[in-house]
Order: sequence, then C-alpha cells, then structure tokens
Amino acid sequence: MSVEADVLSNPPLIPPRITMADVTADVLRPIEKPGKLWYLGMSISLAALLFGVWAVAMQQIHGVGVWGLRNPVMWAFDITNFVFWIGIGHAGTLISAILFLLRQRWRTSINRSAEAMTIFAVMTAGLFPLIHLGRTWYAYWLIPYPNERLLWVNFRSPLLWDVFAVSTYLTISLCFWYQGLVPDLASVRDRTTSKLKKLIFGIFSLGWTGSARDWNHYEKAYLLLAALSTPLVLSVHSIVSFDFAVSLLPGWHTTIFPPYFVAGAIFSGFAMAMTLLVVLRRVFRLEEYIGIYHLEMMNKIILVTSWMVGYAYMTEAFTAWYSENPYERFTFWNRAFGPFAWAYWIMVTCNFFIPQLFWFQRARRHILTMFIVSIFVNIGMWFERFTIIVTSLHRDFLPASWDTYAPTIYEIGMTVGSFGFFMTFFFLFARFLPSLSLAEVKGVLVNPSGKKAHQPAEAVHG
Amino acid sequence: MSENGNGKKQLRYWVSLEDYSGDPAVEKTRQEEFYSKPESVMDELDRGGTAFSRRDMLKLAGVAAVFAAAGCARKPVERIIPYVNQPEEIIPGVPVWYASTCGECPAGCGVLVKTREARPIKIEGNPDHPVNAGKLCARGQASVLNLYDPDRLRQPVKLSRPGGMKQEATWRQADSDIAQSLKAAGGKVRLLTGTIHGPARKRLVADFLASFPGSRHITYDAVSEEEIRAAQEVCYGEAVLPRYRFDKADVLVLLGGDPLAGSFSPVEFARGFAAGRKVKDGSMSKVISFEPVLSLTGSSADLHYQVKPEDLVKVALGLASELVVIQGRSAFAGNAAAISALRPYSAATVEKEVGLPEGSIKATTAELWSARGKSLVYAGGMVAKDRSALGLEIAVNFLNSALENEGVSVDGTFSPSNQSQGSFADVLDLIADMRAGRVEVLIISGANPVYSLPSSVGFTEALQRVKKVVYLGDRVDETGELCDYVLPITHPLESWGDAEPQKGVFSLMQPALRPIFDSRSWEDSLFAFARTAKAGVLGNFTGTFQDYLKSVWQKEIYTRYNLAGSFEDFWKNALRRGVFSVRNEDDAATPRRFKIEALAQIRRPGKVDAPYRLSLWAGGIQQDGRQQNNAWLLETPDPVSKITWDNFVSVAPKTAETLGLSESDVVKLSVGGVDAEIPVHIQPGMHPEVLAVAVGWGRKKVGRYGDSVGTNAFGWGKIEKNRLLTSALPVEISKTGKTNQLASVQAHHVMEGRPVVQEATLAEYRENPKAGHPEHKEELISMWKPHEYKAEKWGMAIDLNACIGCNACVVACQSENNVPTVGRDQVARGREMHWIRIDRYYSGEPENPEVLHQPMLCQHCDNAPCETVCPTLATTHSADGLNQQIYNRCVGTRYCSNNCPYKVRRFNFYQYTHFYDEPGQSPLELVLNPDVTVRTRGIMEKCTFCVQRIREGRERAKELGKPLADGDIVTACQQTCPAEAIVFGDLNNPESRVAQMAKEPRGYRVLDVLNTHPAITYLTKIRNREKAEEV
Repeated sequence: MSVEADVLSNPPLIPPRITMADVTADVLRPIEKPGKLWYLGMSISLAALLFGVWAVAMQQIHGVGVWGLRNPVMWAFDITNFVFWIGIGHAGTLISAILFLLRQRWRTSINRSAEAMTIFAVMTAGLFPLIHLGRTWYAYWLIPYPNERLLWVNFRSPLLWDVFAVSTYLTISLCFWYQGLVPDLASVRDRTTSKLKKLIFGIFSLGWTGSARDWNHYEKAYLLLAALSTPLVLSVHSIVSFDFAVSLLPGWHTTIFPPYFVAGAIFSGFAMAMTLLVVLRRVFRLEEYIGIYHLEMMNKIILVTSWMVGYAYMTEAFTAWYSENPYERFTFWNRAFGPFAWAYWIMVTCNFFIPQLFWFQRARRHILTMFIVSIFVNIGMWFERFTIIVTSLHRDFLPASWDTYAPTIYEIGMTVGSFGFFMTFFFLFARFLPSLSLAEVKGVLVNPSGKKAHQPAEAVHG
Repeated sequence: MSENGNGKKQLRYWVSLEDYSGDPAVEKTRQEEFYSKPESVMDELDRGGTAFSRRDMLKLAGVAAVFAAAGCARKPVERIIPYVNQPEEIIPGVPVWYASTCGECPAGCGVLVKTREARPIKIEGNPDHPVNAGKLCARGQASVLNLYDPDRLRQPVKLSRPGGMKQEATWRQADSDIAQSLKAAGGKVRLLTGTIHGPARKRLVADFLASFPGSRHITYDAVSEEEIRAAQEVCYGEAVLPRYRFDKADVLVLLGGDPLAGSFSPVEFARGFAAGRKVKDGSMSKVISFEPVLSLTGSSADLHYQVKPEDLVKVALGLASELVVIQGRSAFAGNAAAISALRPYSAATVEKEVGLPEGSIKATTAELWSARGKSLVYAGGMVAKDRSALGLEIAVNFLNSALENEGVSVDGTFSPSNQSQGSFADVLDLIADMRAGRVEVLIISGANPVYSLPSSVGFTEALQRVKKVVYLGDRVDETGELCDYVLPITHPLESWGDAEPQKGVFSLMQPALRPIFDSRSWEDSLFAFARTAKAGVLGNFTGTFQDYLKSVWQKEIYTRYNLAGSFEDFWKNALRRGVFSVRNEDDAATPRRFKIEALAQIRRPGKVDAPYRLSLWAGGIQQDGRQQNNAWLLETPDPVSKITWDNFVSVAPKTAETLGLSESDVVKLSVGGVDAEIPVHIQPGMHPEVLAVAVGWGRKKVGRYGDSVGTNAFGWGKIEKNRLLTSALPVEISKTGKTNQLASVQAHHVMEGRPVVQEATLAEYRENPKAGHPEHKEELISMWKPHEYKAEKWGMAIDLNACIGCNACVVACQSENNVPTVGRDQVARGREMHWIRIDRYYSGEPENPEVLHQPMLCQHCDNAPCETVCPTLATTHSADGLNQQIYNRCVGTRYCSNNCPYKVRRFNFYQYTHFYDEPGQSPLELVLNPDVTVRTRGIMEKCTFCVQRIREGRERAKELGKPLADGDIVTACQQTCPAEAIVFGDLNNPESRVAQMAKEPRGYRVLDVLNTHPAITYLTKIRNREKAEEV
C-alpha cells in the first residue's frame, strides 16, 4: 500500500483502531442524526443570510446610492467581498487537485469539505459582480451571446475575463467535487432506510456498484479533472487580480499582483478551511479523522503563504519607492500612514505578524490557537482587499477629486449576508452529504478490516 | 400530354402558358410552394397578390396569438398629438431663437432664448449685445429654470393682514379694489422697486406716478453701489455710476471690491478682466488686491494683501499720498489741498498701521504710475461698505483722476451705467412716511425688503400702517405674505420689457412663450390699476404694455435719433437683434475734473473696537438671494470655498485655531444684538480679524428647494446715519457645540506637488515660453493601434490664465445637458453630477495662499483608460475623437470611473432625474433639452463635448453644402464663458484656434505621463510678477 510510505515517516493519518465500518458510521452520522449544534449553527447562518437579503433588496430597489460609495471610490465592500470569497475558494481546489497530484495523502480527511467550501465560496463571490452593478437586471449583457442588435462585449476588459474565469472555475470545481462524491453517495444510498433518500441518492450516485471497473474509470476521471483544475487554481485569481493590475491606478497597476493574489488566495483559503474544519470536527465529532496532524500540515502552509503575502507587501513598498513615481509613492505612503492606515496595519498584523506563531510546534498543534489565528487571517485577508481597493481609489491622481469613504448599514448587511449565504450552504452540505470522503479515508486506514490489530503481515498471508 | 408507365396517354394539366411551355422558373416556383420565405410573401403582398398558403396562414396566426398573449402588459398611454394647424415658425425638432434681455439682475445682459416646440430650454448670451457680447453668468444661465419653477404663484392671491389667511382672488376683483384704494389715497401712493432702466419702463413708472399725483417711486437694491454714486457726486458733481473698463486696465488695484462676482455688471467686467489676463506678446495685466476676504476677483490677483475692511481707506490714501506727496507725481503734485489732506497717510505709517509688508504701497504706486492712463483702482461691493465707504470711494476717485484713468478706464460721461440705482436713504424715508401714515397704497415689485432689510429699520412694523399693500411678485414670499394682494408676475421670458443698462445701449425684452400660469407682467399690472382707476395718461392708453413699449421706443429712440427707414423696420430689426445701441464703441469718454475739496470729506478713519469684525459679501451665484429656489444655483459651488447648498462664516485658519473651531462647527454670531447660528468654513486667505458671511441665503418663503437653506446675513446689516453698513461690524463669535456638515464638492485643496495646474511667473515665461512644464517624458508605447481621425478630431483648449473660476460653464452645461441636481445630502456624499467642474487649488501659505482655478471635464483621451475596461462596450471612441458614453448599454460596473485619472465620470447612484420628472415637479420637466437623453439610475455619464451640438452643426453644414468652419460648433461651456477661456474645435484643422492653442509653448496636457493623450490642452497659468514666492 502506498500509505506505508507515510506510515514510515509520520504517525498514521487516522488512528489505527478505526475500521472501515467506523468510518462509514462516523462520517454518515450527521446525515442520519444531526445534533443540536447543527441547528444552532444553521439558525445563525440563516439569520445572517436574511440580513443580507434585506440589505441587497434595498440596494436593488433604491439604487447603489444606499451604499457609501462616492465619486472617487466607486468600489468598496462589493468588490472587496468578491475578491475575498474568490480567494477563499482557492484552498479547496488546491487541496483536492494539487495535493492529489502531489500524492499528499493527508488531504483525504479535508478535501471534501475544502471542495465544498470552494464551491460555496465561488457561489458567494459570484453574487457580488451581479449585486454591485448599477443595473443588475442587465448583467447578462456581459455574456457574449448572439443578438439581434449585433452587440458584442469588450474582450479587452478584465471584467469580462472575470466572467469566463469564475464561471469556468465554478463548473470545473463542481464537476470535480461531484465526481469525488459519487462513491460516497452510493454508500449513503446503500445504508439509508428512507425510500425517498434512496431514490435521490440513487439517482445522484449514477448507478455506482463499487466494481473494479467503476473504480478504474473513477480514478482515471478523477486524475484528469485534477489535472484540469490545477491550472485554474493559478489562473482564476490571476485574472481577478487583473481587474486591478490592468488599470492605471497607482496601487492597482502593478505586475506583482497575479502571484501575490494567488498566494493570498491560498493563504486565506487555508485559513477559512481551518476555521471550518475546527468547527466541523468538533460539531460532528470527527476529531479522529481530522487529526492534529492534518491541521498541523495546514498550519505549515498558512505559515508559508503568510510569508508570501508578507513578501508581496514589502515588494510593493519597495517598488513604489524604487520607481520614483510620485503617484505610486504617495499611494503607498497613504496606505501606511493615511486616513485608512488602520486598515493597512490590521492587514499586516493579521496576515504577517500573527501567523508567525506557527513557527512553534505547540502553536501549530493547539486547536484554540490555530482557530484564533485562522480567524485573524480571515479578517486580515478581507482587509487586504479593502486596503487595495479603497486606499488606492480614495486618493488618486488629481488631488481635487480626493475624498473619503465610509460604509453604510447596507454594505455591512451585504457582507454579513455573504457569510450567512456561505455558511447556510455549508451547513446544508454537512447535514446532507458526507463531509469526509469515505472512499479516500478508507484508503489511508492502517487496519481497514479491524481484525487482529498490529498483526504481522506474514501472519495474514499465512 | 405525356405517357405514363402503362404507355397510356395521361392528361396534362397546365395553369398558364409558361407552365405549359415547361419554363424552369415556373417549375422552381412550384417546388418552393411550401417553403416560401416571409420576404417573398411580403413582396407578393406588395405586388397585390395573395401569397398566403394555408400553412403560412396557420403559422402567422400562431405567432400572432403568441404575440398577443405575450404583449398583454399594459403600457402607459403616451400621446403624440400632431399639430392640427402647424403654427408659423415652429417645426418640430428645430429650435427657434428669440433675442431678449436677461431679467435676473439689472445688469441688462442681452440673451438669446432657445425654444423647442415653443418652450424655452436654454438661454445664451446675445453676441450682438455690447454689455455681455454673447456671454452670460451662472445666474443668467440658470434663469430658464426659474421659468418652470413649480413654486411660482399660479393665480392672484388676497391675504388678510395680519394673520396671512390666503384666499384666491380674480384679476378683476384685485384690480378694482386696488384702483379704488389708489383713487382714494390722494397721492399717498408709493412704488417700491429694484433698479429699473429702459426708456419704456422708466416712462411707465413716470406715467404711473403722474396718474396719481403726489405719489413717489423708491428704488431699493439689496446689494447696492450707492457709495460709488455718492462719491462721484462729491468728486465730479454728478451722481453717476461710472462704467468701469476693466479691458482698459493694464494694472488693476482692487480695494475690497469683487467686480467679477456679485457686482452690478459681472459678465462685462469678467470679459474685460479676462481679456487683460490673456498673455499677448509677452505681456498681460497685473492685478493687485487689498481685501479683507478672499473674493473671486482676489483669487485671480497676482499680488494680494489682507487688510481689515476699515483700513481699506487708509490703503487708498496711502497710495495717493505716496504718489502725490512723496513722489510728487500727477497733476495734483504740489496741490496744497491735496498735500494737506494726504500728508498724514505716508506709506510707512499706513503699512505699519494696516499691517502691510514694507514697501508694498510704494511698489503698488509704482506699478500704477507706470501704467497711468491704462490702469484702474476699483473699490465697491458690500465688503467695502463700512463707515468710511464714502471716503474710500472719494480716495479711489482721486487716485483714478491722478493716474489719468478718469475718462479712460472710468467712464462717467460717455456711457455711464444705470445698473444699480438703489438708494437706502430713500428707503428710510419711505419707512418714515409709512410709520407716519403718509402712505396709503404701497406697491412693491422686484424687491423683497422684508427679507433683505435688517429688522432694525422696522419695515415690517411700518408695513402695518399702510392701508393697502400690493405685491407684484412670482411667489408669496417674505414680503408677499405681509401684503394685501400678491399678484403673480410673469417671468422675464414671458414678458415684454426694455433695458438701458448703459447710456445709449437699448435692450429689448420679448416673450419667448405665453405665460405658463395665470400671471401678468408688473408693467401690465400698473397699467391695469391705472386703467381701472381711469387715471392719467395710462388710464387713457388703449393697448397693453407691449404697445406702450413700442410707442415709447418710437418716440424716445426712433424719433430722437432720427433714424432712417420706417419705424416698423427699425422695430423688427431691434426685436430680431434684441438690442439697439447708439454707443459708438470707439468713442472715448471725456475726463472730468476732480474737485479737490472732495478730499476734505474723507473722515479720519476710525477703529473698530472689537477683536473680530464681520464683513458681508454678495457672491456671484446667489447674489441678493432672489433666485434662492433655483436648485441649479443652490448646487453650484461657491467658486472659492467650493461649498454648495449653504452659506457659512469664513474664518481664517489662524483664527479658527485660536477659537478652537473646526470646519462645519456651528457658531453663534452676534452683531449689535442680532444673533444667528451659522456653520464655520475655514477659509485660507482671510484676514485673521475678519469673519465673512455671504448674503442671499436663509430665505424663509421661497419654495421647496431654497426654504431655510442657509442663514440670512442681511439681518446683520447696521444702520448708521441713514446708511446701511455691511462691513467692519463688531461681532461676537461663540461656539454652540453643534455641527452642520457643509456640502463641499472638493475635499482636498492642495496639489501635493503634482503638475496638475502648471504655472510660471511672467518673467520666467518671457525667458522661456515653456516655463512651468516639467520635462516632457518620452512617448510611451501603446498596446493598441492608435485611432485614425480621417475627418475632424474634436479637441479643446483652456487658458488657465483667463479662467476666473466663476462657474458659469457649470450651469451652462447643466442646462444644455439635462444634468440633474442631487441635493445637499448627496453632494455631501460626493455625488454631484456636474459634467464640468472647476478644481480650485491653493498653494503657498494658508494665511495668504495663491489660488488656482482649473476647469476639469472629460479629457476625451485618445488612449482612454475608461474605454478598455468597460465589459459591455458602453464607452467607446468615435471616428471624430469623442469618448462616447452609450447610456442604454451601460450596466453600471463603475470600472470606467475607477480607471479615469481625471475622475470626471458621474454615476447615477439614484434616479436623480426625478428632480425633473416627478409628478409634483411639474412644469419643471419642460426645461429638459429634448436633444439630450435623460439618464436613469445605475448608469455612468460624463461630458460629451456637447455631441448634440456637434451633430447639429454638421447637419447644418451639410444642408448648406459648406464644409464645417472653425467656430461653427461651440460647446455650451465655451459659449457662455465670460472669460473666453475655453476654445473648442477641430484639432485636425491646423488653422483652427484650438489647434493653434494646442501648439502654443504654454500648452500642456494634464497627466500626460500616463500616456492617455487627452484632447484638452491647458495653457500654463502665468503670474504677473518677478519672483514665484513674492506675494
């Protein structure tokens, strides 16, 4: 078994006493019998979602004017949220695809929820380009479809690239996730006693029988999709970063943006996955499957990507100084010491200083610490986007048009609502679908059958 | 016949001979029988055939049923009613222009009224008019909105006094009641108006007074220049208001006056002033200002000094003393009377007392003397109206005479001005008469004394002693509500009238439409009263004021000047041109002799015994407040402070620090027991001991927009010795702890060392005409293929030296392009919609800053950053160089605005056009220009270079079969700019003015380092002084 390589160097991913039957029972428990905590979480999420629905409805009824936007600051919370959620969506694909290709077996416990997170995050992100429009009802004009007026779209515009990048990403992620789900759906189908569930899961498990042929096709398709999604991990956020990099605004117009955004996205995605997993393993009692080892690995990635974004912050500042471009220089000075300096320093503190805790193993393995750090990183990454957008816009080229920005309740509601939207989907996912990949977890079990633990190998053959 | 398989002959059927002959065309038709395309069906139908096959019939029936089902939504009913009888001259879609006279202030500028389908939509200056030469101020441009003001009074109203119970009245009822009172008054009749000029109007007033012998006419201007006239009488023997020729002044010294804003002829002055500011052959005029506040004119000065208002007279005397006594120059050198009067005011003493830098008086005198006969010393306005105002004007007259400007830049004989004739002393007499019961009927028109007189004069109380008070006004305003009758008057665009703003310039006012409401011009009301009373000349005159006007023009102009041709021809010509001038522009005035004894009338200037003194000022946007319900003007920023929708007390930065005040703090100002609260604006360039407040705000009864906007500063005016003092008023200032966020359109006021407005001194410019530009960067490569401009490439040039920052262009653009107003709250949120704005920057020390005005509008870049980022191609480049915004394709991503380095794009955050088209706003919607799309919420808009005018000009040229000539197309901002700072035209035509200006060494493009290639060239601002730091 390929898992033995891991076994040699690291402790087993899953405690050896866990058997295949345990996996199925433990993972499917929430589906069959949700706990009280699930209802609590779902209620909070729905409340947040409702707040958001109200805020967005008001904005759609009355106009973008209900927001705090003003002349030089034409984007703020709307696009901040968009980039933030797209970034969150990155960890899922990274965990599923890239770590799969790199044969990182520890991903098995977290990939399902990370992928789900990706899809819900991209769905959340996808709302903002629609919401933020002055005339949302004409959003379909961004799609190049043949029409009687012979109108076409502008392929020079990064916003159009976004349309393609995000929709492609959502499609591929959805396929990838769904394909991974098929064997597990079949397990649910086989275990359930409800006729309705049997029917629904029966349809969605596509007639999975678990035969060798099934597995053969499954593995091939999974590999192909993994290979297909890998470039997307890099491309989507690069393209999102073009929204800024391709413009000529100081603070936006920089070549470092694509790698910087991708690193930031992975960083924030891992942090969000961390936040969710810590909660998930507790609520659904999956501590044994999502072990400290898994979390520690994630924390290492968080530490690495924290350095990447930290490096990007330093590079930006250095380039601004080195370029001798007065507009560029001013923008960075203004970010660090201007009216929105607080946002900048929140960003630097949360994204760079706080994750340095993970140099210490005790911190990396301490649940509460990693939970708090991951929350800070989420905050920091939100403020990173806010800083990039608002501080660049509010003081641009002509000092006469300089102004300030303050959000209104509608923008805050929209932001809270986006978390509600995301969490609602996530709770529904945890309630109705296996939140761990049964098939893959079973693949990394030390002792899948549960018989005669620690028995020497030859005895089995004998 | 053919054979079948059985060899048996079968009958062959044929329908035509073609068929019979086996024509392939027939065969083809037969094969296509069931595939016929709709076009062919239609063609067939057109030919009169019946090409419907059963199948087509069913198809069409099906489609029709679907359409009928799908199209069931009820559409609002819209009626397009064709003319049953086409009115003469009106062709739908083609504008008709009427020449008339602007009625918003007594300056008497000529206007051309653009009407479409018989409604005025835009007002422009009349190029033939000698006063304004085609230019107009912000208020003139906004006048058309007043016409459609929904708060105008719509029928006569009778009020019961006191209490103000309103009831509708009929004209007949009102006329007979008023006529009764007039007859019964026995001459105790008073007519109170604003400044009136024009032969027919003056004759009418005279005839009306004569109809009721003993009655009197009182002229009252809330913002008056009576000290100038009084000083003219003292110095030269006649109380005239001279015509100041700023165009003839190479050196201009301002002593507290603001001729370019709020004065009695702002457009004319701005034209003359700006003409001198333009650099010609390496020279330009020099402007030196001594003033307590930073006025609009002062903001364009080359050198400015801050003095307290009561010290202005000392400065004037100091200049005179230096010139005549110390340097022994001018015709008055050695004149004993002059020397004895001026000796105490040596330059050193004055500089010390007033706090001027050493040598400033001497240097100013030297400048003035070197330009003698071509200079001008000007003082006036409310800021100069303190106790020593008369002395100041006498000293100014002396200086102008000594400098040989009298008769050159000061014209008191040839064509003096009639534009301000109010007399405050007469108003005080009137009040005394009213109190004493010597007035039984008071008719008020064109004045709002209850609002604009300080309450201490007791006008309101005196009004109660008058038996019958008739108000001829367009609304029941502050004065109107205290009267017996308010009779609605027509708007100037609905009226006949005339004006003679300056001697020999006769201007006609003609209606451009029938009155919208049941209203009557004040002239016709006077007629009606006299006629109903059957009194005097007017009582016997048959006809309306129009006929009267014509008859007066026949007598007083046509006959008097012995004009050739028939009167009808003269009249028609005058109507067409709007103006008839007998003034020969080449003729000069004759210098008058200065009466040296006048100097003795200058009182020893007193001291103001208070730490702070208040100066009131009249701005160019609100002036005396008569247009305060005009939302366009309310939203037009004050040109210096950039604040909209409010007035404020200006406080010097140092003073604010001393008093612990910050922007928008509400303070209480107390002047002689009159208290009011007002927000603070920290204004660089103020004298630290002076506080200043603009008048024309704080009206209580003006309408839905202007009610209670701002604070009425007229209330602080002080009466002393029958004179109204509006400056150097001792004031106490105290904090209230409240704040009232001022809605400013600009939040940042310094350029941060960026080359946005580029400037140089005249000396530097003479040495290097490119002075002031940073080194030109090399051409950057572009990713895209450059645009080709095969025919025209539209562009603009803006001379920053000429621009005075008056904001006339802003309102002109608003009127032309249906730019909505958004209201105070939205302006405070940075959402004003103006397509052109004037960016105002300060440089130097906050205590005494330099001011730079820069009109900023869409730059129509060749490499437009907005065009590449719009995902829906809603902003594109036209073949003639315009950056176009396609409103109905815009989805509102706002990316274009984020990527615009000039931030000239405006987003419709809400449905702002509700300002025009909500039901209660009627008839405001009539002001909309039908040639320009009204924008809905959620879309971006911006300057189009007045594309509708470009297209119209092109169509016209095509119609005439001529190529477009330079100047055929002017944008709205360019058209009205009194300074002629804006030039628009074809950059591809090397002969055009704009192309010439674009090539000038002073020309530069804003932010050209970004490689945007703007189509607008700015010309460097040149300061006329030696060193950059000298202030």
